[in-house]
Amino acid sequence: MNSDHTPSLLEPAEQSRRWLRILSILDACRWVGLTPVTTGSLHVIAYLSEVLAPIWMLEPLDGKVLKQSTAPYYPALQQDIDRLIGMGLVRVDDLKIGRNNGDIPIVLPKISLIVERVEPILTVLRELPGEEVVLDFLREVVQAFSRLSDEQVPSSMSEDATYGSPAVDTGQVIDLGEWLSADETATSYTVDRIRQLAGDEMNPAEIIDVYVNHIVCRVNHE
Amino acid sequence: MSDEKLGLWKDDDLSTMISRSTGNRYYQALPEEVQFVHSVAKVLAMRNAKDKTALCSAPSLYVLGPVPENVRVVPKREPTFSLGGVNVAGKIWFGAQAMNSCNGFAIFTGADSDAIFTFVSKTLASGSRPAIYFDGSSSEALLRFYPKGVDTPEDCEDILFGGANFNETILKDLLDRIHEKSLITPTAGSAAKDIWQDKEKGFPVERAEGAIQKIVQVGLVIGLGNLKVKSEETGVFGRYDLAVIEQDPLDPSKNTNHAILELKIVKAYTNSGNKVSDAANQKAVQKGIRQAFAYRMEHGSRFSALCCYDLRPAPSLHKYSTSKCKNAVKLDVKFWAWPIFSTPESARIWLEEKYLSGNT
Repeated sequence: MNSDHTPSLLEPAEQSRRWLRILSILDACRWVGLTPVTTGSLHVIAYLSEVLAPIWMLEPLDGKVLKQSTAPYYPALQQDIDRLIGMGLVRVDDLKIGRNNGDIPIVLPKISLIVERVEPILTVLRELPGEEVVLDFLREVVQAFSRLSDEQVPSSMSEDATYGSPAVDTGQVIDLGEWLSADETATSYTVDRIRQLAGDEMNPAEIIDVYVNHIVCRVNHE
Repeated sequence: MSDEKLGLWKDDDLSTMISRSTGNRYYQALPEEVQFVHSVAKVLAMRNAKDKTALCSAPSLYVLGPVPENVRVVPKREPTFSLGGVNVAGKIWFGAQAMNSCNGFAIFTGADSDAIFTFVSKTLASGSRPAIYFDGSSSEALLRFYPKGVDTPEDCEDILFGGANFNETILKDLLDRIHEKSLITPTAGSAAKDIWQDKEKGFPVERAEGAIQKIVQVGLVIGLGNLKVKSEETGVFGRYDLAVIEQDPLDPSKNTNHAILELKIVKAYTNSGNKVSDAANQKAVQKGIRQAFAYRMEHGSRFSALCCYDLRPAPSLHKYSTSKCKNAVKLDVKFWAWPIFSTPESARIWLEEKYLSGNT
């Protein structure tokens, strides 16, 4: 972790790096059996991969997210998905029209990878130093995320320790490591507490699973 | 106690949340197909405890991997699959190693295993993916793992179903199978070669015990299904090698500590070729018996065993039973031993001598 992190709010994460993350997440979704997946789910998974990254000793890619009334939303991610569709790497399997909170019509696509085109890219990615770790991490995040039903996903992050924290109001930016250290989020403090309670016996995958399962329990009011 | 640092979860009971976890990610470091076996067996144990009649009403098949594309039927995703709340009977389930969420294709009524395997192979084009078949129609439920998929049905392994019946005999039989299939010679399994530094000279690697423990753990995880095979937990009396623990399928906060396994190797040489004395080997065995006893007492396990792997060119420990090992008898520790050979040739000689002496 880079604790001496220089803020770079105006510079989004490198585009190719963001594209690879989307392709990796969609590949994990395919493995877990979630595809075609809504773009809304993709934003939630991207958020979880940011806030849970320190568990895997990784740095968040964006380091921040704008808190909305419902679910996390990354404008750059949405643009990237559109680009990847245009590049013929991602396909739209289904398209529905819904309405947002302001009753404005919005397009709700379901997307998946065009496997035969993306597989060569992912094969090279797996062989690059350090990338296997990231792919393993994203697969764990998606496996844990799959505990949520399609109906639960849109509002689920309002039950997350960090995203749902009353300390940050809607419309404000949640810092996941952009200015503060990524270890200073409510999620990171919760993870430390989980580790203590489990007597340091839990591995990173267990912690991610237990953490996301708690979100599901809260959504279910258990 | 409220802690503002925990954000929205400041008042949540995290301790209860951990103790009630039914997750299975503790096997993160093991191969995917091994994790998959445990996850499926755990779900079946939950189903068995909740509604055995429904579980056994029809066979079910589980496939590790993505949902096949270009299939006319759209499967239904079950996000609560790993919680045991879904009736799994009569379906072919596709999922990842954790099996948290699965997609199920209905099996047509009356289909036998041949018909199901053909459907998976031909229609779903997934015959080469690791799979598990469950059939609870007879008194002895069948839970069978196909590591190379249903296209290779001859390569299969039965998995223990219903951990509550677990006992010393089941464990010993399984350890015998693991020894025969994965340990006895460097060619017995893909990992057995890792035990030896110089096969021709019979020099084991420096951490031979660790290499054997890894192989044994994988074999036990597959064979023992829903039982958890935990490795190396440190306690008051030291760190055990392996423990077999069962999480109650109805109340995840309850665990039964079935067994403690202490592993020891007996060898003629070190990795650098120095001779190891008989006295040093005897000392290691006696230490192992005391460890198996102490860890059993500390963890409240039902039984404990010292598992000795004899790496000497002329192994002899396997000839000794528990009754001939005084300390093991006194401390109620099972004493089990197996020979491991550095070359298939030395194993063949041993087999020949065994046959000629009438001990086959």
